[in-house]
Amino acid sequence: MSRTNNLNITNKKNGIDRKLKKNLWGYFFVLPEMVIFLIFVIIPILRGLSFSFLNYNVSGSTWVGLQNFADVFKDDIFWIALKNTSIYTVLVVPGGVGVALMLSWLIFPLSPKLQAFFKAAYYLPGVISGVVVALVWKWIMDPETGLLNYALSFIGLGPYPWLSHPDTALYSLVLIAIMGGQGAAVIIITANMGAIPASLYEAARIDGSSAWHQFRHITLPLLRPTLLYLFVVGMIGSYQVFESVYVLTGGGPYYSTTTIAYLIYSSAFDFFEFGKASAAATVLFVTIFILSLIQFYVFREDKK
Amino acid sequence: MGKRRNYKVWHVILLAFVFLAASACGGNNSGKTPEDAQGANGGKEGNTSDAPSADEQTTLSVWWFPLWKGSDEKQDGWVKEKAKEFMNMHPNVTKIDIEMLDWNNGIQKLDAAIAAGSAPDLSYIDLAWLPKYLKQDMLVPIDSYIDKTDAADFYKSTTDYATYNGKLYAFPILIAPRVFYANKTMLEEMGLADKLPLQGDRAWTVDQFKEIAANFPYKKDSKTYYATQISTNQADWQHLLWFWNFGADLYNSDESKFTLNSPQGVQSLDFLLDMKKSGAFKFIAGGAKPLNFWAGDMAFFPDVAYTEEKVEELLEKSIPADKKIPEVVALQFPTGPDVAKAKTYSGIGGIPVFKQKGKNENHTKMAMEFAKYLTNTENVKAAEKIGSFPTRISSGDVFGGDENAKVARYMMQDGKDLGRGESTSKILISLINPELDAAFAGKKTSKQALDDLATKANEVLDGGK
Repeated sequence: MSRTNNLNITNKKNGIDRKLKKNLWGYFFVLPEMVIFLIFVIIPILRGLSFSFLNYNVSGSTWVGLQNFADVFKDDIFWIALKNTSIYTVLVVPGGVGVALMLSWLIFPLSPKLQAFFKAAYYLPGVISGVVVALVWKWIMDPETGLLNYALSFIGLGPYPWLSHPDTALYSLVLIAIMGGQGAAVIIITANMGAIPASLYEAARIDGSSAWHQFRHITLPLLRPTLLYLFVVGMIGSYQVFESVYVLTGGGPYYSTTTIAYLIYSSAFDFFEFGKASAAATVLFVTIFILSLIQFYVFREDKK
Repeated sequence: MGKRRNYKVWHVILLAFVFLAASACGGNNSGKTPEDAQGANGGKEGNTSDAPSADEQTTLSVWWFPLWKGSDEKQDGWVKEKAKEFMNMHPNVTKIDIEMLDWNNGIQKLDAAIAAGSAPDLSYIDLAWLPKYLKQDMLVPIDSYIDKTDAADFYKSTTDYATYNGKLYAFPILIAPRVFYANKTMLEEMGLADKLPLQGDRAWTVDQFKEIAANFPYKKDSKTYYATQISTNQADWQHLLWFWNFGADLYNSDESKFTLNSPQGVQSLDFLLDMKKSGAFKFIAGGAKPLNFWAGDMAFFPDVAYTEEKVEELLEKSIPADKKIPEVVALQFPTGPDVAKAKTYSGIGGIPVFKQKGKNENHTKMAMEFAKYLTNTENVKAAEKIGSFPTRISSGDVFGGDENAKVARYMMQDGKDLGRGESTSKILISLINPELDAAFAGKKTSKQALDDLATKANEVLDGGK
């Protein structure tokens, strides 16, 4: 028995060695990327995690155990930030995917040239720095001179203080995220629409199915894995929303746009509370991790 | 079985590698007490017993803001000229690296550098932010590097503002009090200029101000003009001038209690809410673009006490080319009931020296010497170029008969500050403006908003000690 085990181990070891030798160049080429990933992602994550247990001070730190986590959970603003972030995510993710799906549905039947034009047009804001996009929206939503209020004035509406009233500021950020950030999703969805066999649509047409029915019963079910991917990635991105908050509202008015990522930044760089900021970042990481696991679980169940 | 053992070996190797890398990357001070980690210069406070020779060569790094220009008319010109002069006097300082910060995000850059442990040797800062850096134990006390007579040459209010627990932490370089500017030309057009207090010391009351404000908003050529604005954007604090001039204060005398919710505070906020409701005051919140007084957007505005000459310069730069340059006058702040004398914020700028790990005492000494040089009797006179007051008594009156300076000097007799405690910057940035937002958005009454603010601020004060 033990001899058989030893033989198995030796065979496997030889197998691993062979594979390693065979793929040596492959490992060599991914090594720089892995080193960069280690230095700029893994190590900062571990350092951040360690800071969450320290009273971190530039000139020296002391171990405080779970005190920073207690401080985070005791802080009313953290709960407001968590609520705001959750509202933002719940609205932006389905809203964004919905808009991307609708746009893809409209773009897909067009000629390849027109498709390319629209895909590029929707993708373009994604190429520009988020800060620049936010500044453009700041101008669009300016209550006095902004384009949005100017356009609404033609139908007798407004002016609205889009970003400067607690009741509207968060929803304005949601609107900006949905309107401006769907380029990548459009590309992914249209690419996957192209992978759906045309024969299914032909059969449906022969059976007298309407365009809506085709979309509802063919396109949507076959896009499900793609849409679930977009939901997971969108949720992760939305929970980390920072740029638009930083540039457009600074977390105000009356904390209405304070998100967890903004709170982390503010704790760390406005008040030098690095321990508390790291603890909040750890909580954010755990929240996103659990939500992602739930979504992956749903995804796996659906696949079965 | 064998497969599981293989996995274990790989896991152990991977974990060991990650932890090795993590500890090599930045484990230099975790777990140490601040005293352990102060480095070569941090805790010595001028003790030169083991200091190397003063002739030992060193280089300095200075971060500077565009305060005033040099003789070359460049923003970094002045500080570069001073660096050159200093290096001529101290040949052991072989290089002074000067990095210019901008007013919009310079302080964030400095904060990030301090957080990363790569602070410059010295930098210009508003002394209101000293507590933040003291909390990080990043400042070297300067008492041992300046003799008592020299220190006494600074106006006492300026050194008091930089003194914590009996130690002085910065060389004050300028005083930038605020005055209340009025666009006289706009008010003349509206037939209201005769209501301005242009006689004597230019003092007036809130009731007199209200008479003028009642005529706003003022519409002309499809544009709306406001009496003034109230901004709660991030760290904007100029609305506090209204609270101070209604007799309210941020803190009690020993700064152990937040007191803005006093009856005077509530009265002040009620006044601001009335002004917003009537449309006289434009309310700016949530990152909205503020109006620009110097471009003619409103009739009144609290700003730094620039000289009359500097005011003209500012207007020439800001007013659109097709418009006439208006006449702007500096006034005292309107005072509320029972307030005899107008109060202003006496913003004080200064130069702290930051602790440096791995640098010796000679280096700290040279950094101190340069900060001292920048703030000597002659050099602080440069503050006059931007209409600010020099901080040295020996610099004398640099403004002569300038009317704006007179108004500022009058109000500076009862100058206010933003608080000096460890937690005051937190209260200022994260508590005051959001609660005012709640009141301005009609979500809370003045009293509710200020009481809630006081509860939160007092919690921070109790926890921050």
